[in-house]
Amino acid sequence: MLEIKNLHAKIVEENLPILKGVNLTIKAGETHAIMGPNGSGKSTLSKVLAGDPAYEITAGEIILDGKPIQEESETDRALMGLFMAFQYPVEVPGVNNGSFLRMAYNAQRKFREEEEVDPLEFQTVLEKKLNLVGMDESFLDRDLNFGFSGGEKKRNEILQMAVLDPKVAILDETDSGLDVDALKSVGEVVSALKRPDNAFLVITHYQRLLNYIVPDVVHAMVDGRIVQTGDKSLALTLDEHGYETVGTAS
Amino acid sequence: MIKTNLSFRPSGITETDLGFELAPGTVVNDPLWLLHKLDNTASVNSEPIQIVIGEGASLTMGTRIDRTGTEDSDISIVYDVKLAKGASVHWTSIQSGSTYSVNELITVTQLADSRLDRVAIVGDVKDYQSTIRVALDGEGAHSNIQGLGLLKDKQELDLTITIDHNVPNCTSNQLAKNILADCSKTTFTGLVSVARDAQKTNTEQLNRNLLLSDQARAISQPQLLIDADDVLCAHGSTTGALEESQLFYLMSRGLSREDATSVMVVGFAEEVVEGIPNESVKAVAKAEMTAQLALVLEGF
Ligand SMILES: Nc1ncnc2c1ncn2[C@@H]1O[C@H](COP(=O)(O)OP(=O)(O)OP(=O)(O)O)[C@@H](O)[C@H]1O
Ligand SMILES: [Mg+2]
Repeated sequence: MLEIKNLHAKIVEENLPILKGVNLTIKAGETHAIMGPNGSGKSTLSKVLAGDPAYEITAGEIILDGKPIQEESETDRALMGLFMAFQYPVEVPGVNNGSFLRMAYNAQRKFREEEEVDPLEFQTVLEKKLNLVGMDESFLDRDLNFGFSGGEKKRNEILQMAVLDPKVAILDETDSGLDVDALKSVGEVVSALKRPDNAFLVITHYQRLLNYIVPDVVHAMVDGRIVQTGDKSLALTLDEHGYETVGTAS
Repeated sequence: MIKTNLSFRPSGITETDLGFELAPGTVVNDPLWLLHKLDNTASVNSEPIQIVIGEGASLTMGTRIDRTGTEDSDISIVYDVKLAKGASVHWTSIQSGSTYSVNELITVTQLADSRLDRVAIVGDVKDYQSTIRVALDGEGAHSNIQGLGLLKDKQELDLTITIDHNVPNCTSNQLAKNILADCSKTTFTGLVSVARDAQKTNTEQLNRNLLLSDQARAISQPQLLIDADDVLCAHGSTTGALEESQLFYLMSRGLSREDATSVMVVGFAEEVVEGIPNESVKAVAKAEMTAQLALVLEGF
């Protein structure tokens, strides 16, 4: 579903390499987790996958559902079914949350050559998703993430994910800032969306989230590379012992 | 010659040689449009249009220049507005027309507890100079002046607002927002002066400019002359391009760059129009804003 081959990327402005050869293959139906110390490049990987123009890919390949996407725009990657829940969701004052959701939903439909939905039809789609995420309707009337609390922003990311129903969803530290109930509901949303033909990549510092979203594979990322890969027990080890003991890159 | 047509004749209104008066206590909620009809003449100087709002009267008013000609011209237009005690005016001004330069001078005198709310939308004008002078002469008066400039090519907008807080307990608010494409240019000069005994003055001023091109320029010159000591005064000014991080966020959800830009630009502009309380005036202003924004975003 998602194949990352020898991915190298740098920050354009600083000319600073961050990703130094990431290899990762996520098959359809799988859930992977990435753990790793602060600054190891987890968010960079997420943003590079999503096509953030602040980064430049200097080598390697990203293959989504069989198609190389590293040359595609951020828009097209999203339309092709990639979704990244931001570690720090961006506030966009002046842009209405509900209308934005509908625009994004319709952009996807248009891309798939389906008919766009009007606000009324969208309301029906949305109600189910709001219930699933456990978010109050009143958030739709507000400006996109503007003045949302940390946890509310994370929930809004999950709502977007639920509405857009991507092929590959990357959750970058969605658990940080969430209370236990919210954590549980993120787990429920992921279970509800999970299908044999999609995949999830969950980035976290804590094993806690992985009780709700059980990963098939866990990776440890250090200094821009995946240095160890294992099953869900690796998450426990990393959570307890940190990254001192993980194998250096081979 | 400039000819001002009233869209209808509300009861309580008296047309005078130079404008009109609204009798005390009259409430006009249906918007009264003042259309300044112009033919193809080269340049026009209007006599001051005098508007007197009687005690406790209230008026919803829209103004716009309606010019049929296509030749270059200079238009000078002067308003002289007097608000009696407790009077209020909601004034929406819509201006567009790329063939002429406008020089507008507005003087407003406000007595106690009167209220002025003015929203101006200026788009696709060659060269527009607007000077607004408000004298707050009675306690409890409130003046709220908002403007939205939508400019492209080599268009220029020059807005000068002067508010004199001459007595205590008045409030004033200025909001000037501009969106500038191509080589357009705007200058905002906001002057607030607070007289020595005008205590408990509360005044706010904000100028925000969104630059859609490297060649566009925005100059912001706030000036505060405050002689009283018990005064609340906030002012701010921001000028910048669209935030890349915001664009990326919107695009990462599948919006094209054009759509992402457009929703952000509309979001920036809408604040000004949303403040118009009368629905029918708001609809006209919104349509104008949308049309002008489309022009500004053309080729962006
Ligand atoms: N715009 C930037 N300018 C300079 N350095 C940057 C920039 N963006 C990222 N970095 C650096 O890149 C490195 C990787 O950052 P990244 O955000 O990917 O880490 P992370 O693994 O997500 O960390 P965390 O667990 O704290 O979220 C860090 O050292 C960070 O300081
Ligand atoms: Mg991170």
